[in-house]
Amino acid sequence: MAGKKNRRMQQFKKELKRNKTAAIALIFLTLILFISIFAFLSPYPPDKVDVTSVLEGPSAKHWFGTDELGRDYLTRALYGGRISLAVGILAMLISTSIGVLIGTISGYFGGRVDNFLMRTVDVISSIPWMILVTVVSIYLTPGLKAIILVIGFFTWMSTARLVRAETLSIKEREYVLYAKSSGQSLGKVILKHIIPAVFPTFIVASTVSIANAILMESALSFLGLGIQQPLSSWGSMLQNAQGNLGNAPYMAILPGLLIVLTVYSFNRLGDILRAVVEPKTSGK
Amino acid sequence: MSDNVKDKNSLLDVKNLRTSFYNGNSKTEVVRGIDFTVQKGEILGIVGESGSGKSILVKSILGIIPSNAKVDAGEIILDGKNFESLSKKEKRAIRGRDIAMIFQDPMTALNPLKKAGDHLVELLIRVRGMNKKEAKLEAVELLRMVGIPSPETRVNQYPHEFSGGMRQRVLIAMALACNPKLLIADEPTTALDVTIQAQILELLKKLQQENNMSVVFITHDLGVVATICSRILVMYAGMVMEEGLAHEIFYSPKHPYTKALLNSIPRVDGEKTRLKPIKGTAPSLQSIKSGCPFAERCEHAMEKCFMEVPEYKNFSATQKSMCFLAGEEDRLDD
Amino acid sequence: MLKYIFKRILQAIPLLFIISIICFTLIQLAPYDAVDAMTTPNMTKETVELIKARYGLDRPAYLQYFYWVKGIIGGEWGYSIVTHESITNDLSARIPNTILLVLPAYILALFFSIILGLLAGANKGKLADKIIDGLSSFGIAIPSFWMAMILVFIFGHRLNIFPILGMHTIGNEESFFDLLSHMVLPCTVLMLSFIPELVRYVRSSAIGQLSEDYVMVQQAYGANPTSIVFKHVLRNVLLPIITIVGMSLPMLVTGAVVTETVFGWPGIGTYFVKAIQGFDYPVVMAIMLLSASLVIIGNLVSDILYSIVDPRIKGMGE
Repeated sequence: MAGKKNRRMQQFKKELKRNKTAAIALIFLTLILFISIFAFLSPYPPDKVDVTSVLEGPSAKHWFGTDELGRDYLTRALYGGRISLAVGILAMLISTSIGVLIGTISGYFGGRVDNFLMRTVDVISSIPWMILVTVVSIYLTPGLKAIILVIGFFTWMSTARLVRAETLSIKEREYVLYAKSSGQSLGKVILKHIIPAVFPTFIVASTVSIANAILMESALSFLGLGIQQPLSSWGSMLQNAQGNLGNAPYMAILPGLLIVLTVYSFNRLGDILRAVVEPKTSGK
Repeated sequence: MSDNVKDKNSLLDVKNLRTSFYNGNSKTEVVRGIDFTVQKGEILGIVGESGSGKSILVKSILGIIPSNAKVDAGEIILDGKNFESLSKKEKRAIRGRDIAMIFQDPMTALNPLKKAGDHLVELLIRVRGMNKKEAKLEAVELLRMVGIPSPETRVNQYPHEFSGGMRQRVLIAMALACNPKLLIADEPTTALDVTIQAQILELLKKLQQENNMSVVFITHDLGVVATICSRILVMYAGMVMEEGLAHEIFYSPKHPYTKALLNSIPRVDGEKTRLKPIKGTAPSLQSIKSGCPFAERCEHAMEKCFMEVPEYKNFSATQKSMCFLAGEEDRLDD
Repeated sequence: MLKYIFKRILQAIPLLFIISIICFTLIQLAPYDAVDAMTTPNMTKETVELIKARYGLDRPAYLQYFYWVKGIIGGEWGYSIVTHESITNDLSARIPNTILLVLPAYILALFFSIILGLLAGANKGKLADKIIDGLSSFGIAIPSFWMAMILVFIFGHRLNIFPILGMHTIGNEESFFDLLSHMVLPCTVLMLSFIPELVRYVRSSAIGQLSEDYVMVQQAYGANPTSIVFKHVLRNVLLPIITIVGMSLPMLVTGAVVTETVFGWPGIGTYFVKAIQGFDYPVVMAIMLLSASLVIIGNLVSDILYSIVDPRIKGMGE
């Protein structure tokens, strides 16, 4: 097992070397995570209103200017990054957990269970996410918790499909058949054999899932249906910026760029992880 | 040029052909310096295990190797035309006019969304310069020639409506549509049932005689070679081990590999000997370093065999063999 | 063939049934009473009871479901609790506006994507491919509203070439040219947001097809690369795109929620967002039901189209 991990790690490094944009993406992600965590080191508190410097353009004092309440925009963007990343990561954890659970159960048991679960997946994925997520969110108090739950609970379908397909092939492998016939309990077979085998799929799905969750959150917050004041995310900052587009266009630049780069980087990371997990597709 | 004209009968001359696969920085040579000629009107068999490079050899000649492969060296002369002096466009014009090829897997070789007839019509218009109406009539005629029943309806059917054997016939019809001087058949019967195999071989032989084509027939199956080929090239690990007329290869093989191959197939001439499978598996071409590529699996291998590549020894005007021990029968027959 | 289509339609019915139950349940769960949409606070209790009885709202839930479905099929989609307007009327006024925006954007996107995707696929690993593939994976990461903001800023605020809000200039409702100039920016945003994923799809499909044996056979017979792409590969690439087009049917209604909001386009998107913000449950559910049904119908249509176009499936039933 350790050898396999080592080999994957080496493959990962090799892919990074081969794929320059992926390496840059990885560096960017590390950086953005790091400065979001250490955003409190900024000389400006994120909520400090300063009526003397409202809607100031970028300057040496405020690198990315100030917003309509005179708050330092860079600081706010960094704090916004915390929210956006948190939503992305937590929603991903919920959605991939559900996806892996449903996928393994569906693939492992097959038959009616599989049929029922997969039809459920069909039904849920038949409603456009925008509609589904917003509809459900009106039954909850809008805010950070609601948006994480809603995105997490309604985006697991593609992971479930992937994991199910994987489980179907794994459960026919000899070591799993052997474990089953040698009387190991069901839970043990699933935990010890199936879950580790679908783990790579899970990892790849999770990076894409973070990227999608961040995009969804930003769209919802932009529509005013997501993160609510006094919290702000990149999406809600852009909602704010839209109103000031005529007089303070710089406000639209920073949060937007951060969304694009972060989402792009997570997708790239997913690409190279996929290349490591399925060497066939990248070998050519 | 002058020494190429020495043999007026030769249609295709290949000299020192080398092809490699490239993967990043690593290079794997799969065709390792091959010389051969194809005479006018003959059927030449190229025999070898899978992975011996026989398929990539002919694809190198046609210029249809995968994008990660490259022909590194070699001279190819077809009917007096040296490929090196030809432009890309001129080379393309040779394909389908002078040389046609039929493929191993008839199930995938036809475009699933095009009617069988359209494959032929397109070709007839491009290669033979026919108009659409003539081409359609000719397509029916060609299907009839390759023995497809009720060609008038078949011509309008899609590939999935044909059986494997019938599809191979459509592909043969495509080859015939070009009226080629040289037909390359790359394991054309491997994917087919045994009874269908015999029919296809029969058809190929008949068409070859009627049209006076030369045929290069690639196979791993010595039985097939015996029924159809007049001359045989035995390939191993990208090199020619032995070359000779069919009866020379079958009745007085000189190379241990040829002998091993012959021993590994059941004989129909009554002589009861034990079948001897060849030890080991074909080498991965990346692992070959020096010496004779067959040395590792050869019963008679000597120290020398691992050090240097043997020269060819000639045994007749038509037979040559690449082995230090070739011809020393007492040492080879145990 | 007909048997196959019939079978597919039968399969779609239970799915529609389930979706309708989900929507109905969500409406029942919503913290409001359906009768509120039809009454005003100053009505007497008797009047309210009368209205309730008339719409069957005093009956048990399963009967209410039955009335509800009957209403939906008969084009009676209920009333907004905020404006008390008929949802059917609102929808029929707004759907054409959304289609006007989405349809041209989607058709253009499809057209460009097929060209770019084929170009990239046929030149896999070369410069053209690197540029196209790189841009599309970047494009996927761009939120459409951000792209809209940038275009609004450049073409609306700075250059002042195109209008940035609404469908018509006031007092100029009849002018086709005016409508067209209002369409330019939102259509461009929509088109640009559709393209990246479509390009990636076409590209990988083209790469897959180009590695097929039949392509090598065509090469062996001397067909030139361009004619192989157009005469052989194109068909095989276009065929699965039918599926994608079919499945995009619901986008005609819900594909432009964000873009419509940015540009204040009076379509389904703005209607939906307003309903969500105002907790206008009947409207929200109506749109959800509509879009889910369109998804199912879209899948159905694409399967049927596929079976008509693909000779391999056509032959199967016979």
